[in-house]
Amino acid sequence: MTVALNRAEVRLRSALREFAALAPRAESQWTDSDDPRRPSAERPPRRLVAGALGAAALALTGALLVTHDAGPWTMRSPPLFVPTGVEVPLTATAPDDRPWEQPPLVVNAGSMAAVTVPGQGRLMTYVSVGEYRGHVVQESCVPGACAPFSGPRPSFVALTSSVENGTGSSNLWIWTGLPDGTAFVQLQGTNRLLWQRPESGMVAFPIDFELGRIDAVAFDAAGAQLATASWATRTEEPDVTPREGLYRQLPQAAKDVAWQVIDTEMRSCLAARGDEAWDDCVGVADDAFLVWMQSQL
Amino acid sequence: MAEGPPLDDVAFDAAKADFVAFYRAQIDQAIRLAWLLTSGGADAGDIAQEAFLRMRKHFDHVRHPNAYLRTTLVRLCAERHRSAEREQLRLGLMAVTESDLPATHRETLEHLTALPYRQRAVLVLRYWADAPDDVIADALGVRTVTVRSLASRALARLRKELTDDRCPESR
Repeated sequence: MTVALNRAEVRLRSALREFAALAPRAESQWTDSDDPRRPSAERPPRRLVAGALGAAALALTGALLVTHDAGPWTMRSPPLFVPTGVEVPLTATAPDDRPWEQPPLVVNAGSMAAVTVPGQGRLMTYVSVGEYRGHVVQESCVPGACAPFSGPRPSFVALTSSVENGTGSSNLWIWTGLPDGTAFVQLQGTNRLLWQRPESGMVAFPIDFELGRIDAVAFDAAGAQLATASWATRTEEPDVTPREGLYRQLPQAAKDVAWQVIDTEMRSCLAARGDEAWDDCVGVADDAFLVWMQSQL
Repeated sequence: MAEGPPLDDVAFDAAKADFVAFYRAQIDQAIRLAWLLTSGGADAGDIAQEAFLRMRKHFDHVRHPNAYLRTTLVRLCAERHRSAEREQLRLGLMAVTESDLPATHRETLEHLTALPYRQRAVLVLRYWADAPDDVIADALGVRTVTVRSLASRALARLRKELTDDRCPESR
């Protein structure tokens, strides 16, 4: 609401509206020749296509669909099973003192791990905290992408870009928190069939920018399928909880600094009680966050 | 110029069954978003067209076409930002004549252009597209809390830069 905005924001909104009005209009309507399902030779060249296949720009954490397969239908392969496709080697390496992330996040020191993808440099993984539906929750992170997790093992799938992950020139398709016993992960859906041996419970595949479906399958050493992961259609959020409702009522200015409140509470608690009190401090920060939200209304 | 709600999800749902109708309904808004994200880039139309091309491949399986389009546009513009020098980015803004845009708006947009891409994208999506933070987070592929910190820092910088306290809408 404009009335609640300060002058810089009012100026910005007004400038954007007027500048947007100067944008060019579409020169033509969609025609069959634009349809990418037609052979490419029939399509008109477009300037951006070549560049678009380079490094993508933003990290993407999507809804994760991981399916653990443990049913009797699982087919077991001979013991010397090796997935088909091209192996992308991964090397465990020492983590940095500080994960690559801006703003710096409070990090569970014991959670930090790192791997090296050839030609891509070092990729950090770690556990941090964030706000989710009005609560302070633990999140599994790679640089530029975090997702809340429940249960004892941080696990998520992320596609991080070269801009965000700070590791090199390629986007990385990452799966952390692999099931115990995972010996190989095969990635399907890109231009090539790739596979990797996990390190530190994770895999990281360099891939081209592609929003299409990518599926990964985790196998044990004998070739039994342990789990699959893919980009899933976003699931509907459950009903609004009282805490989430409270959060939604906060003015925008308060939401803007909520992360600082959580960060400050976590750092204060960890300084007083030590890194081993991480789990307790998440609870402390959650309680403090509730009090703070109530004070903002 | 009549301007509907930027990349409105409800409108997209109605058009989902027909990609061409979806294209017709949203192409101009998509160009505007690309235009703003690239600070008046001359290829905003190409970027928007490329976004639709990519989307066409998966359109039948996309549940939220609007969100998909928005995310693709934000990414494509980021790629362009990566490949272009900052000075080149300003060319689009400079190409707009002073008669087209008041000096205060030009100054505001120049400061906006000087921001890092993610900060600029957050401000464009929040203050032009009126997108809530969780939608912006989806488009940028970051956490909602990161959106807030990006916005907070971007606005702090803008406030500092915009020492002139003229306020067009308060007059």
